[in-house]
Amino acid sequence: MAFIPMIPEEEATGLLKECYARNLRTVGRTSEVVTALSLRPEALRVSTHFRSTTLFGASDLGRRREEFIATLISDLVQCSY
Amino acid sequence: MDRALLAYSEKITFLPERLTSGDLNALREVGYPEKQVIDIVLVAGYRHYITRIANGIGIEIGTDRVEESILAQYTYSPDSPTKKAAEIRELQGDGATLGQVISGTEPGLWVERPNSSGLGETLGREFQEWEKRIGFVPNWLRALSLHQESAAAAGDFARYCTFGGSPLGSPREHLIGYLVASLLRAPYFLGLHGSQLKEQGASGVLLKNVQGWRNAELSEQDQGILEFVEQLTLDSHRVTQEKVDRLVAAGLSESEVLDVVVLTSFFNCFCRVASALGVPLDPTSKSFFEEFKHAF
Repeated sequence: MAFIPMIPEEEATGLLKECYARNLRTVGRTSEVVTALSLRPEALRVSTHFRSTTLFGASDLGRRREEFIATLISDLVQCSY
Repeated sequence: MDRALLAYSEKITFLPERLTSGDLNALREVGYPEKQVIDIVLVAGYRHYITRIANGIGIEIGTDRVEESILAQYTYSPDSPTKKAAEIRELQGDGATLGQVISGTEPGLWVERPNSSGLGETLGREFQEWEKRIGFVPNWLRALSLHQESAAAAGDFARYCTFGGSPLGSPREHLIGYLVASLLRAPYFLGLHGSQLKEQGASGVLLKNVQGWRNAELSEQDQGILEFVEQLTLDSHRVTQEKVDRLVAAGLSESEVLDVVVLTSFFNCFCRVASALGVPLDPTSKSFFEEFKHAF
């Protein structure tokens, strides 16, 4: 269980609801790292905007190399998520 | 090419202060064009943001998304030793002080960037926002100009996390940024946040040795915040519910705990990005270093 409360999709309103909807369109699901920021919708907006311009096909590296970097760094910093 | 990519990812993770233009050249030499070199830095930087968010908030992934056998291989506990800690200490233990690391930084920006006439509308607008807010466009943002969409989004992200954009307020944002930059030995953000803290009246004791925060005159809340920031930066897998509860007991709301996690994660990303690209100091940082470099 997460260390702080998270607002589920069905209870989201306003900017948070928009962020969830945008994430659903681009990633296909509302992932836990998105709901993790739900107490601060503006933080969620700016960070997902940065992600969408940098990853998931936005880089010229391609998904395979993006995931290489992601998996290695996650293991090095011991982040199982 | 993949091997070079992974070697770079490892170095930016553990030894960002040792990155040089030679590391970027190694990527270019195996065939990565200039824009992809910046992509690698940004993708790696983002991973240092999102892994701190996940570990700082305690997010877990279920077996509905990942095969159980894979999950078992990549499950860590707060008791797991920090990877490569001894090796890193040995490499860092070459006697170089933070001041020497800063003095020894190779000058100049290590990546290409378009001149001002090559700026698109979105990034041009973002630069104007920074001019309005602090009177200049930070060099780290200019350094990303070849990747205009990412640079504009990074600028938007930074306006939320710094200079009073977050609910934590400017002094605490700079305090967190200053400690993360010091832990990662990142001269660019050390200068940026140090100069701002100085302007806001931070004590000389704190400015000279922010890693000695336990001996500085700080409120109980600020001490708790810095303890959390230090752990999330260096040993993020060791953050537990108990550590979060300690911040709440010190008077922070759960939303403010999230702010601390977001800001620490942001600085873990962009301190590395700035060190990786060889971003030159902003003018406001130069006088700060002149005054404090002997203390570092």
